[in-house]
Amino acid sequence: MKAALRAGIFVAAILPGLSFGGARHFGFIYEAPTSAPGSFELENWVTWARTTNPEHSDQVAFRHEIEIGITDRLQASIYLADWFYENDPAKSGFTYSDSAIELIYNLTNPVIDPIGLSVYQEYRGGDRFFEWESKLIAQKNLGPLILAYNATVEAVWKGKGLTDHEGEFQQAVGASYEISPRFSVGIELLHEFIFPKWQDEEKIRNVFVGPNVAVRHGNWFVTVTALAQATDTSEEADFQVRTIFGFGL
Amino acid sequence: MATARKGQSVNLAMLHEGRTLFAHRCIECHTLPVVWRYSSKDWPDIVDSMSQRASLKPAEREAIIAYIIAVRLAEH
Repeated sequence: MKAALRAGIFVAAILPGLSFGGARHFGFIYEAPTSAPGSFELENWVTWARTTNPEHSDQVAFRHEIEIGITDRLQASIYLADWFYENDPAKSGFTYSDSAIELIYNLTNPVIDPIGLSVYQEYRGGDRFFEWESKLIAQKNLGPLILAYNATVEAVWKGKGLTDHEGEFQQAVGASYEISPRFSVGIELLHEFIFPKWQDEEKIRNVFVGPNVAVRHGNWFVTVTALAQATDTSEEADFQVRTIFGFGL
Repeated sequence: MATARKGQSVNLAMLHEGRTLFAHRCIECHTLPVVWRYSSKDWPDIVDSMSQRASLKPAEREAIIAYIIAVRLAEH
Protein backbone atom coordinates (compact mmCIF):
# COMPACT_ATOMS: atom_id res chain seq x y z
CA MET A 1 0.00 0.00 0.00
CA LYS A 2 2.86 2.40 0.81
CA ALA A 3 4.31 1.86 -2.66
CA ALA A 4 0.95 2.65 -4.24
CA LEU A 5 0.61 5.83 -2.18
CA ARG A 6 4.16 6.89 -3.05
CA ALA A 7 3.38 6.31 -6.74
CA GLY A 8 0.28 8.48 -6.42
CA ILE A 9 2.17 11.30 -4.75
CA PHE A 10 4.90 11.07 -7.41
CA VAL A 11 2.37 11.24 -10.24
CA ALA A 12 0.67 14.18 -8.54
CA ALA A 13 3.99 15.96 -8.16
CA ILE A 14 4.95 15.67 -11.83
CA LEU A 15 1.59 16.83 -13.13
CA PRO A 16 1.04 20.24 -11.57
CA GLY A 17 -1.53 22.74 -12.78
CA LEU A 18 -3.86 20.26 -14.42
CA SER A 19 -7.56 20.65 -14.23
CA PHE A 20 -10.45 19.29 -12.26
CA GLY A 21 -12.15 16.05 -13.28
CA GLY A 22 -15.64 17.07 -12.19
CA ALA A 23 -17.84 17.12 -9.13
CA ARG A 24 -20.04 14.32 -7.85
CA HIS A 25 -23.67 14.95 -7.00
CA PHE A 26 -24.18 11.47 -5.53
CA GLY A 27 -22.29 9.37 -3.01
CA PHE A 28 -23.35 5.87 -4.14
CA ILE A 29 -24.40 6.50 -7.74
CA TYR A 30 -22.20 7.19 -10.73
CA GLU A 31 -23.03 9.91 -13.26
CA ALA A 32 -22.79 9.56 -17.04
CA PRO A 33 -20.46 12.48 -17.93
CA THR A 34 -16.77 11.61 -17.95
CA SER A 35 -13.85 13.82 -16.99
CA ALA A 36 -12.39 16.27 -19.48
CA PRO A 37 -9.32 15.00 -21.35
CA GLY A 38 -6.17 15.96 -19.48
CA SER A 39 -7.94 16.44 -16.17
CA PHE A 40 -6.44 14.89 -13.07
CA GLU A 41 -8.23 14.62 -9.77
CA LEU A 42 -7.70 13.00 -6.38
CA GLU A 43 -10.76 11.70 -4.57
CA ASN A 44 -10.84 10.46 -1.01
CA TRP A 45 -13.78 8.40 0.18
CA VAL A 46 -14.74 7.67 3.78
CA THR A 47 -17.68 5.33 4.42
CA TRP A 48 -18.86 4.62 7.94
CA ALA A 49 -21.21 1.66 8.32
CA ARG A 50 -22.86 0.46 11.54
CA THR A 51 -24.32 -3.01 11.90
CA THR A 52 -26.35 -4.16 14.92
CA ASN A 53 -27.87 -7.40 13.67
CA PRO A 54 -26.82 -9.96 14.88
CA GLU A 55 -24.22 -7.99 16.85
CA HIS A 56 -22.92 -4.45 17.07
CA SER A 57 -19.99 -3.51 14.84
CA ASP A 58 -18.64 -0.45 13.10
CA GLN A 59 -16.55 -0.21 9.99
CA VAL A 60 -14.94 2.88 8.51
CA ALA A 61 -13.71 2.26 4.95
CA PHE A 62 -11.30 4.54 3.11
CA ARG A 63 -10.55 4.89 -0.59
CA HIS A 64 -7.94 7.02 -2.33
CA GLU A 65 -8.63 7.35 -6.02
CA ILE A 66 -6.90 9.16 -8.85
CA GLU A 67 -9.25 10.02 -11.72
CA ILE A 68 -7.82 10.85 -15.13
CA GLY A 69 -9.61 12.18 -18.20
CA ILE A 70 -8.17 10.28 -21.17
CA THR A 71 -10.32 11.42 -24.11
CA ASP A 72 -13.59 13.31 -24.49
CA ARG A 73 -15.42 10.08 -23.68
CA LEU A 74 -13.00 7.85 -21.77
CA GLN A 75 -12.06 8.21 -18.12
CA ALA A 76 -9.74 6.01 -16.06
CA SER A 77 -9.37 5.75 -12.31
CA ILE A 78 -6.85 4.06 -10.11
CA TYR A 79 -7.88 3.11 -6.60
CA LEU A 80 -4.52 3.40 -4.90
CA ALA A 81 -5.81 1.72 -1.79
CA ASP A 82 -9.05 0.59 -0.23
CA TRP A 83 -8.57 0.00 3.46
CA PHE A 84 -10.77 0.01 6.53
CA TYR A 85 -10.94 0.21 10.28
CA GLU A 86 -13.17 -2.37 11.90
CA ASN A 87 -14.46 -2.56 15.44
CA ASP A 88 -16.55 -5.53 16.51
CA PRO A 89 -16.61 -7.92 19.48
CA ALA A 90 -14.16 -10.30 17.80
CA LYS A 91 -11.52 -7.88 16.55
CA SER A 92 -10.61 -4.31 15.84
CA GLY A 93 -7.96 -2.66 13.75
CA PHE A 94 -6.92 -1.45 10.32
CA THR A 95 -6.85 -3.74 7.28
CA TYR A 96 -5.71 -3.15 3.70
CA SER A 97 -8.38 -4.49 1.38
CA ASP A 98 -7.47 -4.00 -2.26
CA SER A 99 -6.47 -1.73 -5.12
CA ALA A 100 -8.35 -1.36 -8.38
CA ILE A 101 -8.60 0.08 -11.85
CA GLU A 102 -11.81 1.51 -13.28
CA LEU A 103 -12.73 2.62 -16.80
CA ILE A 104 -15.81 4.61 -17.83
CA TYR A 105 -16.78 5.18 -21.45
CA ASN A 106 -19.46 7.75 -22.24
CA LEU A 107 -21.88 6.90 -25.04
CA THR A 108 -24.49 9.66 -25.01
CA ASN A 109 -25.02 13.02 -23.36
CA PRO A 110 -27.68 13.59 -20.65
CA VAL A 111 -28.50 17.08 -21.95
CA ILE A 112 -28.37 16.80 -25.75
CA ASP A 113 -29.55 13.20 -26.13
CA PRO A 114 -32.81 11.72 -24.83
CA ILE A 115 -30.78 9.90 -22.18
CA GLY A 116 -27.12 9.99 -21.19
CA LEU A 117 -25.45 6.58 -21.05
CA SER A 118 -22.04 5.35 -19.97
CA VAL A 119 -20.54 1.92 -19.44
CA TYR A 120 -18.27 1.12 -16.55
CA GLN A 121 -15.78 -1.66 -15.90
CA GLU A 122 -13.75 -2.24 -12.78
CA TYR A 123 -11.17 -4.83 -11.75
CA ARG A 124 -10.17 -5.04 -8.12
CA GLY A 125 -7.50 -7.16 -6.51
CA GLY A 126 -6.19 -7.70 -3.00
CA ASP A 127 -4.95 -10.37 -0.65
CA ARG A 128 -6.91 -13.50 -1.63
CA PHE A 129 -9.48 -11.27 -3.28
CA PHE A 130 -10.52 -10.46 -6.84
CA GLU A 131 -13.60 -8.58 -8.00
CA TRP A 132 -15.01 -7.86 -11.43
CA GLU A 133 -17.71 -5.21 -11.70
CA SER A 134 -19.68 -3.92 -14.68
CA LYS A 135 -22.14 -1.10 -14.64
CA LEU A 136 -24.56 0.67 -16.93
CA ILE A 137 -24.94 4.32 -16.01
CA ALA A 138 -27.98 6.28 -17.18
CA GLN A 139 -28.66 9.94 -16.51
CA LYS A 140 -31.01 12.69 -17.57
CA ASN A 141 -30.57 16.36 -16.77
CA LEU A 142 -33.79 18.37 -16.64
CA GLY A 143 -32.83 21.95 -15.89
CA PRO A 144 -31.42 21.98 -12.35
CA LEU A 145 -32.55 18.38 -11.72
CA ILE A 146 -30.25 15.39 -12.29
CA LEU A 147 -31.83 11.93 -12.45
CA ALA A 148 -29.45 8.99 -12.41
CA TYR A 149 -29.75 5.21 -12.54
CA ASN A 150 -27.05 2.53 -12.23
CA ALA A 151 -27.40 -1.19 -12.92
CA THR A 152 -24.42 -3.10 -11.56
CA VAL A 153 -23.31 -6.71 -11.82
CA GLU A 154 -20.37 -7.87 -9.76
CA ALA A 155 -18.59 -11.13 -9.13
CA VAL A 156 -16.21 -11.74 -6.24
CA TRP A 157 -13.65 -14.50 -5.74
CA LYS A 158 -12.01 -14.65 -2.31
CA GLY A 159 -10.33 -16.85 0.26
CA LYS A 160 -7.53 -19.35 -0.08
CA GLY A 161 -7.23 -20.27 -3.74
CA LEU A 162 -10.02 -17.79 -4.48
CA THR A 163 -12.48 -20.66 -4.09
CA ASP A 164 -15.22 -18.70 -2.29
CA HIS A 165 -17.37 -16.75 -4.67
CA GLU A 166 -20.29 -14.39 -4.46
CA GLY A 167 -22.32 -12.35 -6.92
CA GLU A 168 -24.42 -9.24 -6.66
CA PHE A 169 -26.83 -7.34 -8.83
CA GLN A 170 -27.55 -3.83 -7.72
CA GLN A 171 -29.90 -1.14 -8.93
CA ALA A 172 -29.41 2.41 -7.76
CA VAL A 173 -31.56 5.39 -8.51
CA GLY A 174 -31.15 8.97 -7.40
CA ALA A 175 -32.22 12.54 -7.91
CA SER A 176 -30.19 15.65 -7.22
CA TYR A 177 -31.55 19.18 -7.36
CA GLU A 178 -29.08 22.00 -7.89
CA ILE A 179 -30.11 24.85 -5.62
CA SER A 180 -27.15 26.87 -6.88
CA PRO A 181 -24.16 25.98 -9.09
CA ARG A 182 -22.27 25.26 -5.88
CA PHE A 183 -24.88 23.40 -3.83
CA SER A 184 -27.14 20.41 -4.48
CA VAL A 185 -29.41 18.22 -2.39
CA GLY A 186 -31.02 14.94 -3.33
CA ILE A 187 -31.99 11.39 -2.51
CA GLU A 188 -30.50 8.00 -3.33
CA LEU A 189 -31.91 4.48 -3.22
CA LEU A 190 -29.99 1.21 -3.54
CA HIS A 191 -31.63 -2.14 -4.21
CA GLU A 192 -29.25 -5.07 -3.83
CA PHE A 193 -29.65 -8.73 -4.79
CA ILE A 194 -26.93 -10.84 -3.13
CA PHE A 195 -26.02 -14.26 -4.52
CA PRO A 196 -23.79 -16.25 -2.11
CA LYS A 197 -21.89 -18.91 -4.08
CA TRP A 198 -23.65 -17.40 -7.11
CA GLN A 199 -26.88 -19.01 -5.97
CA ASP A 200 -30.16 -17.31 -5.07
CA GLU A 201 -31.37 -19.86 -2.53
CA GLU A 202 -31.27 -17.42 0.41
CA LYS A 203 -33.16 -14.67 -1.47
CA ILE A 204 -31.08 -11.90 0.09
CA ARG A 205 -32.45 -8.51 -0.84
CA ASN A 206 -31.34 -5.20 0.67
CA VAL A 207 -32.78 -1.75 0.21
CA PHE A 208 -31.00 1.39 1.40
CA VAL A 209 -32.41 4.89 1.07
CA GLY A 210 -31.36 8.33 2.22
CA PRO A 211 -30.48 11.93 1.41
CA ASN A 212 -27.39 13.48 -0.11
CA VAL A 213 -25.75 16.91 -0.10
CA ALA A 214 -23.06 18.11 -2.51
CA VAL A 215 -20.99 21.28 -2.30
CA ARG A 216 -18.42 22.39 -4.87
CA HIS A 217 -16.24 25.44 -5.29
CA GLY A 218 -13.12 26.17 -7.29
CA ASN A 219 -11.37 22.90 -7.94
CA TRP A 220 -12.82 20.89 -5.05
CA PHE A 221 -16.08 19.26 -4.04
CA VAL A 222 -17.55 17.42 -1.07
CA THR A 223 -20.48 15.02 -1.34
CA VAL A 224 -22.14 13.36 1.66
CA THR A 225 -24.78 10.64 1.46
CA ALA A 226 -26.44 8.92 4.44
CA LEU A 227 -28.35 5.71 3.75
CA ALA A 228 -30.50 3.67 6.14
CA GLN A 229 -31.44 0.04 5.54
CA ALA A 230 -35.13 -0.23 4.73
CA THR A 231 -35.05 -4.03 4.87
CA ASP A 232 -34.10 -6.22 7.84
CA THR A 233 -31.16 -8.22 6.55
CA SER A 234 -28.83 -9.73 9.12
CA GLU A 235 -25.11 -8.82 8.82
CA GLU A 236 -25.89 -5.84 6.62
CA ALA A 237 -25.34 -2.27 7.79
CA ASP A 238 -28.24 -0.53 9.52
CA PHE A 239 -26.95 2.70 8.09
CA GLN A 240 -23.96 3.96 6.18
CA VAL A 241 -22.63 7.46 5.65
CA ARG A 242 -20.27 8.19 2.77
CA THR A 243 -18.25 11.36 2.32
CA ILE A 244 -16.30 11.97 -0.88
CA PHE A 245 -13.80 14.82 -1.02
CA GLY A 246 -12.27 15.50 -4.43
CA PHE A 247 -9.91 18.13 -5.74
CA GLY A 248 -8.10 18.85 -8.98
CA LEU A 249 -4.33 18.49 -9.10
CA MET B 1 -20.68 35.39 -40.12
CA ALA B 2 -21.44 36.94 -36.75
CA THR B 3 -19.28 38.19 -33.90
CA ALA B 4 -18.94 36.90 -30.37
CA ARG B 5 -16.24 38.72 -28.51
CA LYS B 6 -15.24 42.11 -29.89
CA GLY B 7 -13.76 41.73 -33.35
CA GLN B 8 -13.98 37.93 -33.37
CA SER B 9 -15.58 36.20 -36.33
CA VAL B 10 -17.88 33.25 -35.73
CA ASN B 11 -19.03 30.54 -38.10
CA LEU B 12 -21.46 27.64 -37.91
CA ALA B 13 -18.77 25.06 -37.16
CA MET B 14 -17.58 27.11 -34.21
CA LEU B 15 -21.13 27.42 -32.87
CA HIS B 16 -21.65 23.67 -33.24
CA GLU B 17 -18.43 22.97 -31.36
CA GLY B 18 -19.45 25.48 -28.71
CA ARG B 19 -22.78 23.74 -28.20
CA THR B 20 -21.12 20.33 -27.89
CA LEU B 21 -18.52 21.59 -25.42
CA PHE B 22 -21.12 23.50 -23.40
CA ALA B 23 -23.23 20.37 -23.04
CA HIS B 24 -20.33 18.01 -22.32
CA ARG B 25 -17.78 19.88 -20.25
CA CYS B 26 -19.89 22.17 -18.09
CA ILE B 27 -22.09 19.35 -16.73
CA GLU B 28 -19.07 17.60 -15.24
CA CYS B 29 -19.51 19.93 -12.26
CA HIS B 30 -22.96 21.56 -12.48
CA THR B 31 -26.18 21.53 -14.46
CA LEU B 32 -26.43 23.93 -17.39
CA PRO B 33 -27.73 27.38 -16.55
CA VAL B 34 -30.23 29.00 -18.88
CA VAL B 35 -28.23 31.34 -21.06
CA TRP B 36 -30.30 34.44 -20.26
CA ARG B 37 -29.49 34.13 -16.54
CA TYR B 38 -26.38 36.24 -17.16
CA SER B 39 -25.77 39.09 -19.59
CA SER B 40 -23.72 38.82 -22.79
CA LYS B 41 -21.19 41.07 -21.07
CA ASP B 42 -20.87 38.71 -18.08
CA TRP B 43 -20.71 35.37 -19.91
CA PRO B 44 -17.09 35.63 -21.15
CA ASP B 45 -15.83 36.25 -17.61
CA ILE B 46 -17.97 33.41 -16.24
CA VAL B 47 -16.64 30.93 -18.82
CA ASP B 48 -13.09 32.23 -18.38
CA SER B 49 -13.28 31.70 -14.64
CA MET B 50 -14.04 27.99 -15.07
CA SER B 51 -12.10 27.23 -18.24
CA GLN B 52 -8.96 25.94 -16.54
CA ARG B 53 -11.01 23.67 -14.28
CA ALA B 54 -12.85 22.29 -17.31
CA SER B 55 -9.65 21.72 -19.31
CA LEU B 56 -10.78 24.14 -22.02
CA LYS B 57 -8.25 25.24 -24.60
CA PRO B 58 -8.50 28.91 -25.64
CA ALA B 59 -10.30 28.06 -28.89
CA GLU B 60 -12.77 25.83 -27.04
CA ARG B 61 -13.46 28.56 -24.50
CA GLU B 62 -14.14 31.03 -27.34
CA ALA B 63 -16.45 28.53 -29.04
CA ILE B 64 -18.55 28.14 -25.87
CA ILE B 65 -18.80 31.90 -25.40
CA ALA B 66 -19.73 32.37 -29.07
CA TYR B 67 -22.44 29.71 -28.79
CA ILE B 68 -23.96 31.22 -25.64
CA ILE B 69 -23.99 34.72 -27.08
CA ALA B 70 -25.46 33.44 -30.36
CA VAL B 71 -28.28 31.68 -28.47
CA ARG B 72 -29.00 34.83 -26.49
CA LEU B 73 -29.17 36.85 -29.71
CA ALA B 74 -31.41 34.26 -31.36
CA GLU B 75 -33.79 34.23 -28.38
CA HIS B 76 -34.15 37.98 -28.61
